[in-house]
Amino acid sequence: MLFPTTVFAIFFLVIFHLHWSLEGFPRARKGVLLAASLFFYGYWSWKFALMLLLSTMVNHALARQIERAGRHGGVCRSRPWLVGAIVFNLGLLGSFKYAGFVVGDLLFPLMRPCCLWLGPDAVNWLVGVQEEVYPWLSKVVLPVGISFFTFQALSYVMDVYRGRTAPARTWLDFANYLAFFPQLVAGPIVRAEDLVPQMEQMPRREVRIDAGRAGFLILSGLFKKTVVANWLAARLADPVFAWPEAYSGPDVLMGVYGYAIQIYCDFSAYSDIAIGTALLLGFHFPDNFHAPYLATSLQDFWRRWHISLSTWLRDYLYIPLGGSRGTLRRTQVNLLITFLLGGLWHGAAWTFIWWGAFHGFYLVLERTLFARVTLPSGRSRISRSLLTLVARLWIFHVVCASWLLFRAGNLETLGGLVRSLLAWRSAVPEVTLWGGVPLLVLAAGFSMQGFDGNRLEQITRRLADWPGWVLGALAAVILTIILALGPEGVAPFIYFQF
Amino acid sequence: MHESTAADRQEIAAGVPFHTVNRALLVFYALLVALNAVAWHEANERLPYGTARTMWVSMTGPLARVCRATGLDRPRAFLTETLGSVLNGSD
Repeated sequence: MLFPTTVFAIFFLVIFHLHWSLEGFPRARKGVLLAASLFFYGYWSWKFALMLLLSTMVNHALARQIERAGRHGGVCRSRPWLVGAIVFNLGLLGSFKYAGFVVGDLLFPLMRPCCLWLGPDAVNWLVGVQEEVYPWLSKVVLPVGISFFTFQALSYVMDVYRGRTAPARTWLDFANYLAFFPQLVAGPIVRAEDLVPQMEQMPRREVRIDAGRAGFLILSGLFKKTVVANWLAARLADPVFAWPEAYSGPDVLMGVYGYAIQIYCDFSAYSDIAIGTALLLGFHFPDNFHAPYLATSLQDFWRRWHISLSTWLRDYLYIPLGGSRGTLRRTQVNLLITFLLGGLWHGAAWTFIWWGAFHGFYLVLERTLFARVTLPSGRSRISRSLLTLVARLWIFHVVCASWLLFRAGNLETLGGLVRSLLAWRSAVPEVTLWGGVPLLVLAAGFSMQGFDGNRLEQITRRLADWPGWVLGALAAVILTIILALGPEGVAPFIYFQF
Repeated sequence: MHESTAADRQEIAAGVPFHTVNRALLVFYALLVALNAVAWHEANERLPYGTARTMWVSMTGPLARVCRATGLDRPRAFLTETLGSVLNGSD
């Protein structure tokens, strides 16, 4: 089920009323919330909804075992259960997401020269195996949002192992934490310590709802997705990435800028709508974006982009690897491993691995540079602002360069993009993407960063004093304008595929 | 009974009471349907033939007729023809 659809609007209205009207019946309320989440997920595939249910049961049972074993025998006794939980979750993720990549892009290409060396019989055997395996691999469907809920489950079992959080009181509380529909398919990846207590206690009517912020997040999310991201995808990014040879350098640049703003608007829109809908149900999620294209270094960028993933990678991968506690060389290796795996998290393809490697290498360079060189800091306010502007522009273009790898899909398209980027004239001279409307949409998308991180808190708080019917009417009028501005149809969110 | 946390107390002071949110949500849905029923119905008519299309069209048809008769569809039509066509019109 997609957020900007009629089906979701009807679904949410029903769930909102059921959720709040069952306040006096906590178990029934929790049951309804879980049923709603499974319906939301099962609307796409009921088989995968059952898989999600199984994941909640296994993870909850393992977390309880980890806690029990830890209480009676310490870390030594609880570690096997943690290993079991990690194997289960990574096995689930790997079998759906990485099986095709490992077999088709790693194993078979490695086996081909070996079989050639061994002789015709080995080659015939390999051809036979490939003919058997490839059709089977092509049938494997990636469950939507599996990377998100698997990482959430992993953080839960690891937090229980470390004693940072206690296991959820009941399976129902944990199932609601893992399968909660607003953030189920594209995050934010919420930690157990943040959401499990909320699921155990359940929000009460007497605690007022931050409806001003919720409404603002939902409407700005819908604007970013249905107007800006969809427009940029259809008019700038998709044409350039589909056929880069048809465009000149400036047009390809426009396409890359378009994709940079599209992916920000698309992904942050999902997070905003998720946070907003959860707020209306009385649940609080942490922010997931904080004006990422205003970062002045790549490290700063990762503190602002997909914050829930970058903090997950920091806490459960980078720091356990040693973080920055060891030598500079060791820190560099840790950074590289973290970003290579971060790239692989996004998708099972070489371009995602290159994308992760690009970020990893750049961060290594940046860290080394910052450790050895003192960068100039302007004395006057104007020179400081100018330096900040230059740093922001530089990092924005570094990130845009990485989006080339991310979006290209294969190295052939990437080569075409780079060649076209360096060509002043295009193969089709009359084609140009530059114009007033594209620049306006790009500017609108870029400026949406100004609303990240609850910066308009003062305004949204004031909305609490307005009568309900005025708030409702205002939101309906704004959404009507958004719907009129948006193109027909709903494109899926980019991060659904991860 | 749950204990009241500091965050709860802050929300009690700053948020919106449930009944206000409920009223806002009902007004929002009603007005949204009223303003967009015709466009919604037209989009449903473009769905591929099947049970889903039949269900949606039969649901939005009467709403669209009422909204067209009362002129509630005009703001959305005006916005689509002006702002929407600037953005989404063919080059």
